[in-house]
Amino acid sequence: MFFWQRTKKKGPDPRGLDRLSSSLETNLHWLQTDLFASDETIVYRRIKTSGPKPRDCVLVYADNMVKHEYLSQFVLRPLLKAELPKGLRGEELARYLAEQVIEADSSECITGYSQIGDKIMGGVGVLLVDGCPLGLVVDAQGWAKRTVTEPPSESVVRGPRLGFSEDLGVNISLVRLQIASPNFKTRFVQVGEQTKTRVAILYLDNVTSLDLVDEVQRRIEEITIDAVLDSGYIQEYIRDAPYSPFPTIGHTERPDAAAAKILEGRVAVLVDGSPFALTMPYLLVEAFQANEDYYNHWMVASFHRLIRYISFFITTSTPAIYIALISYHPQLIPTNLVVSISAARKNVPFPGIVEVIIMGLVFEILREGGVRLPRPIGQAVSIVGAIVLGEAAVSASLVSAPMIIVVGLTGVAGFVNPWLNDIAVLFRLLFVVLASVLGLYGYVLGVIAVVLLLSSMESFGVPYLSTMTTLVPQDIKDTLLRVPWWQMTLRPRYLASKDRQRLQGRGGRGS
Amino acid sequence: MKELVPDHQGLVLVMLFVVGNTLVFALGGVAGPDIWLAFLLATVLAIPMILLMARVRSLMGGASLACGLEQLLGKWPSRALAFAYAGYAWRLACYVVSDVTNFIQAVALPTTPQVVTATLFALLMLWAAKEGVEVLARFAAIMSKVVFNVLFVTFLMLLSQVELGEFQPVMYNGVKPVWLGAFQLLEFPFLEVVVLFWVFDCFRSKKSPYRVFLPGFVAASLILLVMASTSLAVVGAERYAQFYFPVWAAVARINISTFLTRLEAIIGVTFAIGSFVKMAACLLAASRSLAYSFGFADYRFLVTPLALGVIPGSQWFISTLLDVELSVIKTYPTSATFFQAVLPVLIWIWVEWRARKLGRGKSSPTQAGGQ
Repeated sequence: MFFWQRTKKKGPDPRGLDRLSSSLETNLHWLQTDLFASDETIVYRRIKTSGPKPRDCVLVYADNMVKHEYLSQFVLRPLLKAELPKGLRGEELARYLAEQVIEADSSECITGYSQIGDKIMGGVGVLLVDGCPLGLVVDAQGWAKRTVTEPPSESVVRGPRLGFSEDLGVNISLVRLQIASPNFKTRFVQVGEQTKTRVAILYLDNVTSLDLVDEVQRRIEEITIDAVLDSGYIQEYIRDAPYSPFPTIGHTERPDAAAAKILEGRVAVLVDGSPFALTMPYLLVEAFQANEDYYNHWMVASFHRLIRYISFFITTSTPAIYIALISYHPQLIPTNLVVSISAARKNVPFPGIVEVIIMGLVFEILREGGVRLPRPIGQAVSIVGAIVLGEAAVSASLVSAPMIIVVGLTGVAGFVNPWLNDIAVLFRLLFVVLASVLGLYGYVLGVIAVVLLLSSMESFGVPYLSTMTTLVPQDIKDTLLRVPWWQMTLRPRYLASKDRQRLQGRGGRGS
Repeated sequence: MKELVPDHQGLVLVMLFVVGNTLVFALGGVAGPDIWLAFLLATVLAIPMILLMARVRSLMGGASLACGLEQLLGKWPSRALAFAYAGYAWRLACYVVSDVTNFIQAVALPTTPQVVTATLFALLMLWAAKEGVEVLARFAAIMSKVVFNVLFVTFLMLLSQVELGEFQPVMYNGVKPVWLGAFQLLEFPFLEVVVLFWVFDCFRSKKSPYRVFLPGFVAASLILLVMASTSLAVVGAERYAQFYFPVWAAVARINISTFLTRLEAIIGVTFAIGSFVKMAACLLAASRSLAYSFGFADYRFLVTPLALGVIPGSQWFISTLLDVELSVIKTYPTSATFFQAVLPVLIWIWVEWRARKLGRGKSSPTQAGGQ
């Protein structure tokens, strides 16, 4: 038989039934030869109850997914000591065991054969008893978990030190700790044919538009994928403007940041196994906001925010403007400066654009090389890059000293807005190419294109530039600046459709 | 689907449209030192026309442009009208592209062929027009903050060089130059606003056209008045009329501590942004009205051919900087007067008569869409 003629070998189909059998041996046979065939991590712990007529029981669980001590103490030990009354069968037996024998704090009955697989893979123990066509599920999840620590990607000087972990239940509880309100609601959806990942949709019932929540749920439910290993999978499936490099869904590792977004009327999505919560709708202005802005003094926070806007301008535009000025408009540079730039560039054999592209590329290589290395090696890469390559390149007249300053400033300014850094690299390159062809006007054409792109984008029905295009004072209090809390009496207009009132009175010292 | 623009975004779209490609030119130069009087007179003369335009849109209530026109003017007259204005708007787009490409060639890129810049502008306005008026209004709302803040700072920096004696004596040459200057201003750029009539699909309420057109126009005319008068007071009345770009020349004189010098490039940048908004609006108006005149429900498939047509069109209508100057300072062809003044008045009379017949004129405001 040739390989293309081979048909898929049919697996054993001993069940014939969808429901569990009353015979323990039949059930075990099904599990061992069909559902968990060739799976050596599944443990079948066989015991007998006490008394004149002991009953055979088997506790089935996945190794290292359960708390062994817990199962021993609260399930196995009471069962070994239990004397079951005569004549108990079926549902009565299951109820008796759940109510009078097993000491675990939660147990439920299942009847379906296929349910057993989902439950055991979810880290619970299933107790099968001879003469009972039901399985008793004992909640004893206990796999290795990371403790709740401060997220390394979003560390703060001031603010809560909590971060999401990989456990969905823990993550929901972390948000619930921040919003202790009965209006805080959670909906669950399951995604992934193979992974069957649980996804939670979090929102505030009295603030968030239910249309938005329904839309989020609809988009998640429409996902057909075999595996979801991180919230990034969901993010890519449900986002608007998929061809735009700008993010239309936010992500955070901080429960306080997620809670703040929910309180403004957004929806948060948590995915089992991912420490990143997704928040939506996501507007451009959020890329310039940090959770620390709201914990520090508003003047300091506003200053930092201005720095972020200026840094974004610097990181995207400085090389392009430099190229435009030295190549097309040298008359616009003050005389002293143009003389010193000209002297520095005298021996450089390349045109400005080649210099920018070479140095930009070197910078990106150094950054990418250092980012995933252990810290001491990463620092060494930085030093080699900055001192050896930079200094040597200038000495060898491969690039001019002003170009090193421009590229260095551009790179450092990019780190001020980590959410937009990768995008900034793309637009920096676009602007440099346009500026090298048409000078300042090429750069302006590039800016027009980017602003046009941003103007055309929406996130879950909300225009991406919403708070930047409006002239309503209340809506711009948290954009370029961060005004004092007591002045932000209303929630954002585009998000909180049900209840815009954030503060009932002004309160505070500012009143 | 109706395209609905918030009033404040519509307002800044009108402002940028009017300021658009006019900023650097010698507007109203024929009025000499009485340029400010010419601006005021032109503004006062333009306001009734703006109100008339707003009135016609207001009478359409919440209906879209196509439905409203058909109801008020009838099917074939409104389609003929749309066809005529499609040509006018497309030609205006060519003029604007030509203005900006000539300007860039004159001040920055003397050896770069105009067709290169014209092509890039055409591609961008193609994109903007395809996205529709909502996106264009959002774009204008963002860019207006840059443009008007730059103009304000430039104005402040020019103040130290202003020579108020340039405005005296008032009306030394009589009233005629003031009237001539005012008529020039009416034709370019004030009454070109008529193109925007075809850009907006529908408004939020019956009062919205007034809220959008009137304050937008008045604010833009005041900005132009201030910039033109300041430039004249810096470079002098004679040179103002002689220079191709007097505002550019005036800003070039800014010198603060010998460091902040040669800031005219900033004016060039704002000019390019304003011009882009105007050319995109013209292309949108041309596509929308042409699609309506032929009975097509969607205008977007017409945008590409019309935008690509603008590239050669901008070279045909105005090929040199002298042509730009002539189109700006000399009296526009009669066709402009026809489209900017005669036709709008005729439309208004007709529409007013029809509305009274339909009993619409005094009805309560119709809300279009939600907030």
